[in-house]
Amino acid sequence: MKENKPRVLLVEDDSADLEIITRVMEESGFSANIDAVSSGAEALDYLKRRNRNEGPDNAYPNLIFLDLNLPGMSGFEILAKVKEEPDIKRIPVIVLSTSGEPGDIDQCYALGASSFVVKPANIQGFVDIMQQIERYWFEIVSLPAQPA
Amino acid sequence: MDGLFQIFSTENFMPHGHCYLWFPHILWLHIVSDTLIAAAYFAIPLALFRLARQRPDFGLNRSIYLFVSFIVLCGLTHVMEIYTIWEPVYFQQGLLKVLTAFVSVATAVAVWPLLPKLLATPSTAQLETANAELASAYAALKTSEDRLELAVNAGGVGLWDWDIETGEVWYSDLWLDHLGYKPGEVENHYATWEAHLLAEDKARAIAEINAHLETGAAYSSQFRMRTKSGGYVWVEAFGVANLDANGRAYRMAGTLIDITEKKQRELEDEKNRLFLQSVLENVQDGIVACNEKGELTLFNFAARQFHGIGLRDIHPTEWSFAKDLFESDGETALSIHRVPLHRAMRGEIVESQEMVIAPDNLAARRFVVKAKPLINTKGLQIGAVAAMHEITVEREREEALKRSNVELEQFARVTSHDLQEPLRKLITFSEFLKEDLGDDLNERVRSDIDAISASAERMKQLVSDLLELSRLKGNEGPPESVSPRACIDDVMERLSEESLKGAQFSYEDLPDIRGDRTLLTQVYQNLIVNALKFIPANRRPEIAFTARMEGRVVVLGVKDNGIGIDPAQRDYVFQPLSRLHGRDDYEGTGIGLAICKKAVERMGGRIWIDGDGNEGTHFQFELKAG
Repeated sequence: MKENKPRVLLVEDDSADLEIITRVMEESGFSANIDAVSSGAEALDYLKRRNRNEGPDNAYPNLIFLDLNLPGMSGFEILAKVKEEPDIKRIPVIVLSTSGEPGDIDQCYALGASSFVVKPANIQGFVDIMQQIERYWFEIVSLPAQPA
Repeated sequence: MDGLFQIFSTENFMPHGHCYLWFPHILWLHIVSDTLIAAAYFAIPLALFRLARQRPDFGLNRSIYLFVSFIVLCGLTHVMEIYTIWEPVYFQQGLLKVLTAFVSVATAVAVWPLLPKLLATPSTAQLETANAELASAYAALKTSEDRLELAVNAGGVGLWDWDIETGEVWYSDLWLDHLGYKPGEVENHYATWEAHLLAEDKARAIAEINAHLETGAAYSSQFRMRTKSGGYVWVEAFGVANLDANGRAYRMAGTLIDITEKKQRELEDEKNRLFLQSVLENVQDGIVACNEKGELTLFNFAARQFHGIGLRDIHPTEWSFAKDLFESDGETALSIHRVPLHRAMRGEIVESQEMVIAPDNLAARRFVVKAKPLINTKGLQIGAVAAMHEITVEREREEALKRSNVELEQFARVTSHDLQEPLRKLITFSEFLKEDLGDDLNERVRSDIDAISASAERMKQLVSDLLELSRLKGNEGPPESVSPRACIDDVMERLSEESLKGAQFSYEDLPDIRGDRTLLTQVYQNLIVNALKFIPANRRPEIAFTARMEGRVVVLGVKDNGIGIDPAQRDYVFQPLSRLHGRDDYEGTGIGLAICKKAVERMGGRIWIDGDGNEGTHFQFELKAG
């Protein structure tokens, strides 16, 4: 059962947002192993450790949720670095942003983001989106296999 | 002695009539013939005397008496013939003949030396030919003289002829006329000329004429002369001196023409030239021109200053400033083919080229340059001209504005994120709160939480609308032709069925405008949303898209059947955050119309409200026709 659960990396520094996202995922029935990190450095470190295949529970995440507004390294920089690593760049990155600033959207897609989602304020809207995301990425499309 | 007496005696002779046997017809024949011959001989001397008196040139004065004697004697011999018919005075007749013979021989001898003289005297025919020749020569001379006179008069050429030894000068009528005199009013003397020279020109004019007399250099001199009326005229004199065997000038003659008008034109031209030059020198823009060979012919003060030359007057050959010119980036040296004047020389019209002039040791300055080939009336290129307008300050200001705009945009982005983030969480957690309380939630708590959510929601909308207003901009390209109908259709596609409230739309013929599609869509978006929003709940919205042409301007409009706007409030509603109605009646942040106003003004137009305030609202805005 545990093997079938998708693994999601959540890059989010704001504890309130972290709570909102995990709760919304829960409410939407999006069952996943969620690994949360609160900075770009942590996120890259997490991914590199996966790369070196250290430890038993070290599979790559199937999906990355990325906040843009992060301390230190911005979401854009993290995205750019992720898309530079040969083994990591195939992992879809879904940007979760508070604002739908057109410039941000353009830049994220240019850097290789798979989706750009503006976080809705009302819970139901967010729950609907999470259900769509799960259905799309884990039922409709085929994701790349874990590297050997 | 007797014999000698006998000679005079008639005794022994018979009258000559006996020889005629006194036959009357023979007698009469001889008498009448001799009488006529004698009469004729006596008449000829009269004619001869007259000829001699009237034509002394024939040289007959002395020989005339000889001729006359000869002829009279011939006449007398015939008279003697008649006399001897009755009186036999044959001896006397013989003596008379002897005398006649002497005189005849003398005359015959005298006539020979006269012959060449008489032969030299032209015949009448010769004289007539000579006369004709003379007449035609005279006519030719007259024609030529007339022509000269005509030319001299028509050309206003006054003549003068100066006898240097005596100081006497002949001045022609026209010469005098130039000074306003009539013939005889001034003395024919050199002093007259000197006396009429204007004081300022006197020394020079005299020196010039003396120079000619001394060195023989061509004489041509311009000076002013006082006129009879007290004014002055500008004249130009030409002349040449005659030299004697010693090389001394003894006579000088020449012309004098009035050049006052020409001089005034020259002065006028010079004045205009100086005026133009002063305009060119004082104009703020740099102006540079070259001739058809590409040689610089004009480099005005501003242009010199831009190149750091200032007041120094430098020779055109030194006008090579291409090294000071840079592309608008201020770093790349301008290649010769990019120099505006060169482009214009190649026939190009340079509408606007930005470049930088950075001479050594001087701060770089920025210019917009226009350049054009110079074409004469025959369509030939005679050079090129370039005008440089400095935009250093404007460009700095623009860049400062651009920087501040970028900063403002950054601020807007940060605000958009940072202000909305907590609001979003406020809303989300209010809902979590409701969920968490679940069944324990009583009505009062629910309503309190809803109030918190609604406030947060409204603030979120407000921030988002304000950001939209502050970020409002079009494509930032040049204005283009935009179809209002296409913009309306874009808006309609985005509106939900629910928000349309079953509205009815009608369209007038909407002409294209010149502007920006994004901005025009914004205008229609807000006006349509307003029309749908501000309407009594039980009324079906009717929205008309109006249009009319006013010359080169299109007046577009959106007319609704909503609640209308009080005429007194019509300026106020275009201000940001202005609301006329309570939130419980009509939703809205009061920014939509501010966005419309800004968008229309961005396109160079204006917006206003028509209608009486009861029967709906008619928003109208005018834009340039596309």
